Amino acid sequence: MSEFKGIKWMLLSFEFKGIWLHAGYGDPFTTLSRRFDPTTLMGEAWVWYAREMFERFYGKVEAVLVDADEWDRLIIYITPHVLIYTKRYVVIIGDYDGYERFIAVPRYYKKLVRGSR
Amino acid sequence: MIDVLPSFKEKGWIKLPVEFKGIWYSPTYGGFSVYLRDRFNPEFPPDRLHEELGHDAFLPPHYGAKPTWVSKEEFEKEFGKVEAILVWSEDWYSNNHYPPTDSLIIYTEKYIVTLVEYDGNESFYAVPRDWRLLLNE
Repeated sequence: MSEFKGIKWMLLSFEFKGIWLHAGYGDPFTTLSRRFDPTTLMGEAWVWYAREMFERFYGKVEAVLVDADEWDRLIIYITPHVLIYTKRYVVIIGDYDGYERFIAVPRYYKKLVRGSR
Repeated sequence: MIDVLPSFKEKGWIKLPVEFKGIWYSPTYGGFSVYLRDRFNPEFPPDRLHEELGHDAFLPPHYGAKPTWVSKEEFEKEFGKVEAILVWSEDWYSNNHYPPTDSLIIYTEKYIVTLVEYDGNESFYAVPRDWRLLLNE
């Protein structure tokens, strides 16, 4: 029922410089490790989101967690096991009609509801 | 470009206007037609909208989707006690029969649970509010 349970998470072992996202329709086929490497040559459907741009949208990155067992495994067509925690959001990679996109889930709910404290 | 899905913008959220008894989701690919308010309605006959909307009678309802009811008890057993549920007000009150899966967020004691779709299959994403908990699990 839950996509993220039972995963062996680890902190990204190097500085987060950005992340590749498969922005075109189709089957993303890569490893988690390549997603964080700006020097990797990816196909034209891939877009590099530099840390600076990412933080402009979602706030300062606090921690990046990845699936330790899938770090170097070639993966096709599944939800990438990546969690990016910023001060206010947990950002995951979701899919909308075949295209990958960021989904930023607010970590705190009280301020989301008008009139709440 | 980077986009935050509309429902995750910080406006337009309301607390679930009804008692939380459970939720419908479809773990398999298909055209699952459901109003947001009916996702929380245990009485919702999953085939009703198929008939209401006049979909092709030769195609089975939901085209392969398997609407599955998860009761509150089952949900809490998996994710912990529910603290708050927020729904996107526009989708709650509209007759959009295919609202984005992220029109709802369920906060439990430990997790933020969202309903997402990947390649047509819906599943719950439960992420701890505190990432440090993940390293200890």
